[in-house]
Amino acid sequence: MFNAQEVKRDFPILNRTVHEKPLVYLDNAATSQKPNVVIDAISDYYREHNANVHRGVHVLGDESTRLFHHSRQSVADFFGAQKEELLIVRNTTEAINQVAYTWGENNIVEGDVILATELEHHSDLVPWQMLAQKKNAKVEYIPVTETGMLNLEWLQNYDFKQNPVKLLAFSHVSNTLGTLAPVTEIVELIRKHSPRTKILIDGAQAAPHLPITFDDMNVDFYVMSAHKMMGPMGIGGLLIKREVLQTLPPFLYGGGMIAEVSLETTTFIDDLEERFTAGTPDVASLVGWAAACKYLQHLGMQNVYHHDHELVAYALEKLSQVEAVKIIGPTDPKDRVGSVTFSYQGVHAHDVGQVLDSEGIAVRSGHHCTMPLHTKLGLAASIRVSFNVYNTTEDIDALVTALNKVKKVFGQ
Amino acid sequence: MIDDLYHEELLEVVRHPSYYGTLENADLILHETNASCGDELTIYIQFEDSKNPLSPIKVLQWTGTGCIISQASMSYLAEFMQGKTLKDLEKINQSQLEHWLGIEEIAIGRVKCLLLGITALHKA
Repeated sequence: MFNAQEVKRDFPILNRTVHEKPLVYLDNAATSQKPNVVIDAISDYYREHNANVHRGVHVLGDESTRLFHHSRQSVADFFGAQKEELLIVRNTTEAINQVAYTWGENNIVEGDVILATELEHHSDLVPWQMLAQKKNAKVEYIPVTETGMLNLEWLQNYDFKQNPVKLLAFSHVSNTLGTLAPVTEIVELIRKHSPRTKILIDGAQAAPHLPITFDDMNVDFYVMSAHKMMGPMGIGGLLIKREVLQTLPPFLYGGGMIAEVSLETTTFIDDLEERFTAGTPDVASLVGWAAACKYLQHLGMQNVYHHDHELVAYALEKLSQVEAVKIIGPTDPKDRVGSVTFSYQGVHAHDVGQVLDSEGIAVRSGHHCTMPLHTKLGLAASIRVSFNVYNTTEDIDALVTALNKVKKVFGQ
Repeated sequence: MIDDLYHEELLEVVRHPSYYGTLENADLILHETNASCGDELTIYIQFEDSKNPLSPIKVLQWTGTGCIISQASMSYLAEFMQGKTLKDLEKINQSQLEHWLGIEEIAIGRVKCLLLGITALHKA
């Protein structure tokens, strides 16, 4: 196990004060903070190695290209995938949209069903709604229970013969409730009862906390963002099984992905990696992301998971002792990863968030880009605290103390 | 600073908001929500001349749920709008609302909450 207090020292922003109080950053599901090694990797790239990739015969071009490929390999390795299976995109949202625009466009026809869940972030919901509208297909949703779990029974009773499901899209970990999806059971069920269904998993909230081995997962698409796992903003990954990738048309057209271009016609490069990389890639961000992967590997992803698990359990325990607090979502720590969400009786989420901010505590209040989920649970908004490797139980103690201030200010 | 924001006067306004309630026979009903945080307002207006929405407002009432900023802001706005016309709304801006609420400058993240009532009325 690592020492979170020591880890904290690697993150310069955590030395900040807010309203003259030490910053307690509990909004990691929104974005994570970055360690010095990631910040340095990005600036060093621009200081020493910056040049475009694949396009020069000079030393800088060479160094940049090597760094690009090396970083790409590191990230693919981190996710237990082959290098050719990793497409570099801007973020999870773009990754899902890309699947909708390429695979979806070419495979979804009238009458098809796309299965999502009531837990989904808007980025894993809206693209499917739009695709279904365009194609006269249907989106259906695996319901969520009152305790925030996916209703597996519903899925077990689903008539796949009557309603052919072309795609199942669901979150590995819910960004709002932290619900850990039973991935193995779901995948087994689908492979058994609906073998032609493609499976996409939104791993944005899983990647920071759980060890992931794409090649062992038997799913077709897995998506994630670097900035949630201590990498920079502006870069993310779309993992696609090779057999599926080979059937896809390019998404973006232009430089780098072509074989030959004339005014009349163009052919595309055979190499899968290059075919799906149009234009100048964000090498610096990829280098930064690789540094974040290395940092996490150094801590050990099993340790990272256990650390998070401890914090989730501690938060559930301490928050349920605050009278006005109502926990939303799974109450058993084994079902919950990364975040604990709650409502505060009699005080609106935004007001709670504001008072917490006055004590230096950063949380997220609102609907967390999951409006359908909030509607289902009968909530206008909620407060979410979410963790990363530098958070400690002291952070949660500070949160609870600050909630007492809410009580003082609002008399509730 | 938080004590500036959530001072007793403001909390009192939200406990006993002005002109709170529905209005039967309203000439105009407006509904507005702040999607990002779940604030919502419904505004009921009766004009002096029922057929003319540019005529002075006879009664304005409102109902809603949401954060202190949006509800308090609407309460002050409701007080101001009695007997005024919808055109008089132009006199009210963010600064004026901040002044009523006794806040020096609202945080960027709360501006939408502050302006919710105005946003609704502008749609009339």
